[in-house]
Amino acid sequence: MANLGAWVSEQRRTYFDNAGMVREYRTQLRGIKAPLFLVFYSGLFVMMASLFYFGIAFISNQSIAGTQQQLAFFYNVVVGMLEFLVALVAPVLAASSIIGEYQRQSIDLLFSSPVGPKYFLVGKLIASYRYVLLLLVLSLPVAAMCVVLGGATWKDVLSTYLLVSLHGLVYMAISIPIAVMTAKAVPAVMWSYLAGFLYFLVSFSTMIPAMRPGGFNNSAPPLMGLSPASSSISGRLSTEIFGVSVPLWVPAAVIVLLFVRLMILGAGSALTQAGSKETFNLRVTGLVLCFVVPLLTGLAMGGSSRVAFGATGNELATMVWWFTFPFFIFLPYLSTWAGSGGSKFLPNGWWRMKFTLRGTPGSGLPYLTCLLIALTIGSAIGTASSGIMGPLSFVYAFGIFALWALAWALGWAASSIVWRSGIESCRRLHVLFLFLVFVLPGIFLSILEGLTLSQGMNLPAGWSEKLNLSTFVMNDMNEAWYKIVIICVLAVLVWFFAERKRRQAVESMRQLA
Amino acid sequence: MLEVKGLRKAFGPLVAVEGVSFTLQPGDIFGFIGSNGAGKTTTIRMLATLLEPDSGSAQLNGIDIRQDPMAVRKLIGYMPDHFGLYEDIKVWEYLDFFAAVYRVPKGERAGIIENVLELVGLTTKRDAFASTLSKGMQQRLSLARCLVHDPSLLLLDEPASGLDPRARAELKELITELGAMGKMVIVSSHILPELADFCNAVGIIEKGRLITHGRVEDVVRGIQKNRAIEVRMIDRVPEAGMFLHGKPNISATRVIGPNTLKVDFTGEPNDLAGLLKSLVDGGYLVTGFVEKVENLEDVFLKITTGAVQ
Repeated sequence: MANLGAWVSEQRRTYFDNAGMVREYRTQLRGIKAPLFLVFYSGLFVMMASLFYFGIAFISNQSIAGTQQQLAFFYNVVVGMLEFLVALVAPVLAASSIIGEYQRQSIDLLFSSPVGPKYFLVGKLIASYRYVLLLLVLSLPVAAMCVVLGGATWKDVLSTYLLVSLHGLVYMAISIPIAVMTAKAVPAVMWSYLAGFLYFLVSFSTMIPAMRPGGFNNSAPPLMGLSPASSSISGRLSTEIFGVSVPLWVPAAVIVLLFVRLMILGAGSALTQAGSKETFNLRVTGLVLCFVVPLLTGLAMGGSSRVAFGATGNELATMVWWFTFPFFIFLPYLSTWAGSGGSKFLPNGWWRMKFTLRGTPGSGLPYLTCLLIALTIGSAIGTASSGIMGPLSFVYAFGIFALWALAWALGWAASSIVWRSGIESCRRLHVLFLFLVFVLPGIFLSILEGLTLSQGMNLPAGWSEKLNLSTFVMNDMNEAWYKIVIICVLAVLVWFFAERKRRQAVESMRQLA
Repeated sequence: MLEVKGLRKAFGPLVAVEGVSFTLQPGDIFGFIGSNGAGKTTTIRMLATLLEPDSGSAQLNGIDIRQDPMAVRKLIGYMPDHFGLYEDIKVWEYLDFFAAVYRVPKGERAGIIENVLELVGLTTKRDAFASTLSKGMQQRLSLARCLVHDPSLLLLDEPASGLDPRARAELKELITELGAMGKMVIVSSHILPELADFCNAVGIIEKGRLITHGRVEDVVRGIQKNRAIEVRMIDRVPEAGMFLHGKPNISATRVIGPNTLKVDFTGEPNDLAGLLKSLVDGGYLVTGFVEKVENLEDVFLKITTGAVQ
């Protein structure tokens, strides 16, 4: 009971009495710059909306149905503008408030005080989120215009605003670990925009089932609310989860909050030493997400009530692929080691199960394996009712594992080559290896395919896809298996080379010590 | 009490700190001396729990910095060599922020802020923006920040760098006062004569190793094997040198001026009185008899090579 009381008081302190949050509140609107920006923002928003509205209003001879369609379209445009502005402002807000701490070198003062990184980062996130909410509130008069004119109802507007603010939260959450790791303003903002754009693309796949001919019946795909491209529609829709109808913002909020937690813990883990509770919680949250996302995706496509989607195993495979793809971003953090940066990065073996949740290099591969197990179980449960995946789910799981294992081995190899230059160099080389092995061949083969087509050469259909190791054509099981075997062999060869080098590195470190 | 045992920190192949050990008692002001890159800041950052030691331990009031860093942080006030001030914030807001971070209860914060502002002499600047303060005042504000939670140990990394002589004197006074309040203070600095003025213990670090440490007098005595006595006489200085040559406790004599003789003496204070007596009894007209004590700077220059990592 005492523990529960302490926990509650700690949560209150972190989320409601956060000193960093209070400090940001005191200073955020201080001076002339902030009010000027808000006036400019509101003016610009109203002006753009008005221009668009009058563009529609002056089209003469419209039918009532046509006018209604135009008004609904106007509402979509307003929401689209909001999404765009939030995507533009949110990463800058969160990243700059963290970078500011680095620039004025106050970060050391904070981390020599009895607060963990979570406290500090949550304060930053909430203060930035409050600013985004302020921007949304300022745009409400324009959205209210849509209600008055008949483009949307208040319920639509409010749930859409909630979704937009959730997307803003995602953009901010993405920029937090980036800001922590880059510690410089321009790279942090640029990488945040790039990552935000990737999120936009990845989340777009949550709408795939809705795009099939016939769309969906009464139940929308549960994760559709995650996509910024669908906010104006998602705000009006609900989905069915285990037979219960819930608004789309509910599963979106669950996933976003888990994602935000993942990002905060990721940044916290980067700021802490080996074996910190941030690293432990980060890894646990990663496992939970790997279970929940495919579970919900599977439910969206596999449930008997949704056979109307007409989803195929290949589609599900594509979606799960997209959800697992972001893990490649984190692979350099799971796979590399070096002799610098404290015990966190020391090359303590290649497979250390007991360190799986502690986060030393020896825990990289066991953790990836655990992620895969969570992913497979999540997918299996999600699709159990219809069985659309069947044996494909296992092929798919092996495929992901093989790719991750190769990517991990490349990280091991990168470390064994440049470990003396420090962990950052190892990560950079790993990213280069990932690009060379997983991205470049795809680009090269696509160009080659285009050339052969333009030359009128008669080659078997899809030959470039067959040669590209990192894509699986799931309808052809044999092909998938042969690719998996090749990737596994490659992974073992790379690992074998890297492991020998690692042992030599450990020996030379021992001698230096 | 602070007990540091065998602290070690390496960054890749570079060993920044190796086997640093020392002990401090409440009220001790410990001057941490070393060239740039000697390992002072790394040691202080390890004690501030900002860096994880590779090996060794440090216990503050019985709490290990590696095992319970959060508990240790409550007991330390860390002032790095940069201020890290938020420019857009008022002096009281800055202190209120850190008081909240250090879990000082809301109801007590206002009183504590007033007290620390009074201690550092910034009461009149309570509502000023931190960015408008002079460098000396910003330094004092930084020190006030370290005090809001009443720590047992203060870690001050180069606190006097960049300050004008008046600000330095004020800071020195403030640190002495903190020592008198029973706080342990670790001060790293290059300005050695100043450290000698208010530190009661010093540690000299070079290439990551603590070469010597202890009470200032002990450290100086440890280095200065012989007492250097300067004897001023009206005349017959070379003759006096010959007279003393071969006498007990005299290792060497040297004429260093027209009326000054330098005597390297190995005896105790009682023997010194005997030396003076023998000169007077010998008919030498002694006008001055002074033991020349070496200062911290002499000691530092004597025992370090200036090598860095």
